[in-house]
Amino acid sequence: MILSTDQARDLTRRILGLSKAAEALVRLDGVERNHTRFANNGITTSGSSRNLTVSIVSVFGKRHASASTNLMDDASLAEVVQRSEALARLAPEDPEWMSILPPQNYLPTEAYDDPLARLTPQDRARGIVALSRRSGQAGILASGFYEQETRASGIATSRGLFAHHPRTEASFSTTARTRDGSGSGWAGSDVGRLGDLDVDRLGRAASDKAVRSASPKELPPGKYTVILEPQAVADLISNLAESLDARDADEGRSVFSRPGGGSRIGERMVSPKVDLISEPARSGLAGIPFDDEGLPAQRVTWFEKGELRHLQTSRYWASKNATQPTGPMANLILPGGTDSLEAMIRSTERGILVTRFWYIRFVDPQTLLLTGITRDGTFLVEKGKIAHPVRNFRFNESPLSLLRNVEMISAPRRVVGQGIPMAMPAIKSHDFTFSSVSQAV
Amino acid sequence: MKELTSLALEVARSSGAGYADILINRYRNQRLSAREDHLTGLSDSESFGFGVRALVRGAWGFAASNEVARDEINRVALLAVATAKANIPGRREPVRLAPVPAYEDVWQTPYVKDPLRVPLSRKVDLLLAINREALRVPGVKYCSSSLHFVREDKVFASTEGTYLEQVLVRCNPAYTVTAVDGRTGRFDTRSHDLPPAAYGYEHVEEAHLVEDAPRIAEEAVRKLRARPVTPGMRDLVLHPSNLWLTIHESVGHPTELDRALGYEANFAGTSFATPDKLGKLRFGSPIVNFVGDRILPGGLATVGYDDEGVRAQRWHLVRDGLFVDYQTTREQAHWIGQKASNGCAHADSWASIPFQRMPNVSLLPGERPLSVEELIAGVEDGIYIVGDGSYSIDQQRYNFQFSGQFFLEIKKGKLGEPLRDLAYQANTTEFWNACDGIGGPEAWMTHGTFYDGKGEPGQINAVSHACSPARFRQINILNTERKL
Repeated sequence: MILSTDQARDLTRRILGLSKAAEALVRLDGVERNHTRFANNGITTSGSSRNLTVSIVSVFGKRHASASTNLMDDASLAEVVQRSEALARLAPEDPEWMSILPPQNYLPTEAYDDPLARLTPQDRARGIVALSRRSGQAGILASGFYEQETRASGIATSRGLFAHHPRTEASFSTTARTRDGSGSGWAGSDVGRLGDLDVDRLGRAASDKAVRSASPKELPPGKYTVILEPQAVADLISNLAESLDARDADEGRSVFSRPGGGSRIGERMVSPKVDLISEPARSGLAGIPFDDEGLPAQRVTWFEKGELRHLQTSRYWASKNATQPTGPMANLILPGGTDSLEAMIRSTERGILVTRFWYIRFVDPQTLLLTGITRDGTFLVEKGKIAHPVRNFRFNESPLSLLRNVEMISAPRRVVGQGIPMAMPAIKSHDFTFSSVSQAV
Repeated sequence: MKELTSLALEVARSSGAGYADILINRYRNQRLSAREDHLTGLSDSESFGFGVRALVRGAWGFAASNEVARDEINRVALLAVATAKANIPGRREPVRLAPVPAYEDVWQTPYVKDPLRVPLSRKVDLLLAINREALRVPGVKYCSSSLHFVREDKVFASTEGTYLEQVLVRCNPAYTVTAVDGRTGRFDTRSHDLPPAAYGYEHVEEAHLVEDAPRIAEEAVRKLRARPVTPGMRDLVLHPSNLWLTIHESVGHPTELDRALGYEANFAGTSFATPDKLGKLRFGSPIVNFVGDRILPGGLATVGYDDEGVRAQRWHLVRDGLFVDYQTTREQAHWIGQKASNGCAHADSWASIPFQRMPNVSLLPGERPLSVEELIAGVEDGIYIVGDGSYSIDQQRYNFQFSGQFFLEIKKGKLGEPLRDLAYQANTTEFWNACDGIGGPEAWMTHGTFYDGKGEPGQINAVSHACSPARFRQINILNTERKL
């Protein structure tokens, strides 16, 4: 359930009042989730759930432990506090423990949209029924997922810190398949405001791509120039973002480690056309303004003109190395350029246009090598035009090579993010390695 | 508890549901993590709540809440029915549930030691001892270890008269050693092969985790100095610690009936194994037999009953190489002309809708004793792979690529030097048809994962896969080393 800010403050005070630890931190996670799922042009499941979880971290010197519950009666709250204290007393000292934070200043990140919070099962069903009906008439089998979530994160400490952040989010995605199973298209988006969600447009885009991708031809694997749509870029960049860790780099176990010691901060690792930033207060992409410790999210430049500028740095690692912690990665934006997708296609003699990727996994952290599969619309571009659909490829490639070989970049747009809001551009890049062909549609 | 389940079912029925069920679940999770010489995390969480599923004129509605109290149960049951009614215009055809007997029963994981009652100091000492032993090996720089214990207390009741109480317990011990060569900048890792399992703390105590640490650490260092693999077509012998994941991805997921019929198309995809291929598709060579199995001892998906009250069972998915059956729920059985579900409904939380999830899917052993050494002896030029590594498979489960933890060359029937930068890539049915040797019953062992993902909203499922070592002829080997 979603508490108001006053209710959240009262609850955290009540819990901190039960604490006998030297220091304590309380987190609140209130959530109301609602969704409708559809497949083969029909609604399959639909549901809603509400929950409120309280976590308490108890600290005695350098000993700490956490316990959580979603039972809100007095006895359960007292029990969870006692449980965390009992565990903390038994825990050995943690030399890396950083003391509980006092009050902090947070960026204003307005992320609550009342119309989105009030979306009903009937509203979701209406959009899906219209999309499914149109798909059926066009010989398309549509499936998809429509989810709306209202969430409120709270944090308070025994040193007086308190913050509370209610927000709304929705995500809609749909996959359209031709009835003969030879074509598939996808479209989707995350939004923070109901007004930004256009179910009808996404449905038409997926359907159009399914028709255009039907009966693909097989091309041999090899190195190709690629034009990646924004979702395909996001699929790769979210894996790169996971590796932006200062400690791993300094410890010599990351692609961002400098042989002989230290990190590669200050090195130009990718094309000068590439910047990569987090901007927690960006309108329409607002992230959570604090992390699990209450540390503020801030604007961070990860890459600037191709140069590695920052790596995610925890409070402990910052204190050990006399630097500043970066705070959480609240969102991720590749600001991009001014090239259009159409201009990328027009400028390409021979290349592959990719809608999105699937099942991406790390192969080698040494080079950030990833493998995965193209999906839901893969096309050959020849002599400045889309020539025909092609069979999907498996790739083995590093996102750093992709960004190093960039030729053109579009303006970014919001995509379906991996846990955080993301805005990514389309990118044209050369020498992208497709290692085998897949029969999958 | 029965009073609360009866209330939910009565409210749902009287407001229009033709069928309804309720799950009331309590989860306890305890997690410990350590790196090098200190503990980095210690947490204990509890989550309690209920979810009501209502079927109204063939359309589903679901609602859930963490307030297990009469008023809230009333509100949630009404909301589930209202949601189902909202979906009636959008459903394609009415849901039909396969019949199931009404059961009243209790069941629990057969564990010896409740992991949540084992003193914390023993768990902490274990993690620090693992790390200490691993770090003694020259070349090893880091070691991270962890323990994760889960206990689920779940109650299921339906309007058809079933009332079930189950207690599920599982353990996940793990550690990873990192070796770094500061001079060259190369680094590599080796994770222990011990699987998670549905046993009590005895699973952790009997595992020799500390005793194995020097060997695991030495193998991390050996990987650093190993020779890069030469790519090409080679024979493979796969240890169960590697093969389980290949089974999971290439056999477990494609034989989910909802996936095969397009219900997962927007997320994980569909399947090459469509119902028209039942009884016809040569999935593997004639020695290949796969079973769906919810009664496997220690199996993470082993239960007394599934999450819609169907009794646990075991059945063939592939028999003598032929694709013969699917994983199903009550709603799905009639889609392929079957009269009963084989018990694969699962919800990962009281807040989640039960849907079709993977049972333990296992490769049956060969009938006669056959050791891994004998399998290796039959290879002229090949590779032996231990442990699971990188894994990826396409959206219809044809093209996959897997790696591993430790690779040894096989030359003239004998194990040779370690190799690195290796992945194997194949098409599912070509791979299983290339299987010409499966170890005997004495070599059969169970591996698995706590974290199999499926569905929207995403749910996780703990699942195991038992197998013996097996041999595959002429599989495509990739060298994954790159220069940036």
